[in-house]
Amino acid sequence: MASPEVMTQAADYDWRMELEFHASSLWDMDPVPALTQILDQIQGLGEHRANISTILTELFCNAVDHGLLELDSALKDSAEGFAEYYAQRERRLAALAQGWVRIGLTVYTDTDARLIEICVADSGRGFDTAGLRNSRLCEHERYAGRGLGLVCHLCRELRFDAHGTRASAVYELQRFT
Amino acid sequence: MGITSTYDANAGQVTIQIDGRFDYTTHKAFREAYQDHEPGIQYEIDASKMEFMDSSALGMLLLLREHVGDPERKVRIVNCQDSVRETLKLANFDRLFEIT
Repeated sequence: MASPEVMTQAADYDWRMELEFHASSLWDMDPVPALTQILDQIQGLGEHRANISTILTELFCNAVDHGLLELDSALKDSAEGFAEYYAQRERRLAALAQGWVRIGLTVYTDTDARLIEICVADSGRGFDTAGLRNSRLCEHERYAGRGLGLVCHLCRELRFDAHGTRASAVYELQRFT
Repeated sequence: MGITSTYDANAGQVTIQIDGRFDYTTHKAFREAYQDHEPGIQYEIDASKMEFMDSSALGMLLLLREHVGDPERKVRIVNCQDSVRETLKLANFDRLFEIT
């Protein structure tokens, strides 16, 4: 299976780590709390802890729910649909035989800020990003679901590539004045 | 970690306390916290122990608002930490909920 690298776009970085989760591990695992803790211990996230956790959760859930499980967000509009969405999620996740999600975290220093790039890639079919200019992603209503809307607001940059199978968010940890 | 719900019959108020992460993993517990209480009473979320919330949690709050039914009777979200308050504000939830 062709695998998009979650390798960073940053030419030079302070440190980075990459994790890969396979289908068999995803059904009972939510790596976000542990990852946030590791980041906090290495980097000292301070006031950014909750924001980083939100970004990780949104991108990871998008990769699993839409990338691997192909769930339909429109279901979530009603109370019954919301419950159905998560019932389907549980069923499909339990039945998922293959597929993976990779998370790449890279902390790097730019001229004006210390940044973290959170990159999440999945082995799914992706989605059609044609006609979508990444720089304007946040204004693009169709893609700015509630979750991505949050990520857009929190991040300096959010883009999708590799046919929509890879999302990269860049968050400002510290701005140099 | 977890969600607890208490009903004060005298005040006619349900208080839902959310401890830790308010995210997609808590959807069942959150729904159970309010679904057996009648719509026309006051609902309050105690967010003093809430560490962060994701977009699923925003959706769950909208469902609670739907359960209440009356847009004049706003669900109160109290004791928010800064990051939670910011998330609610980014989603424009300060117009739909009473946030303190």
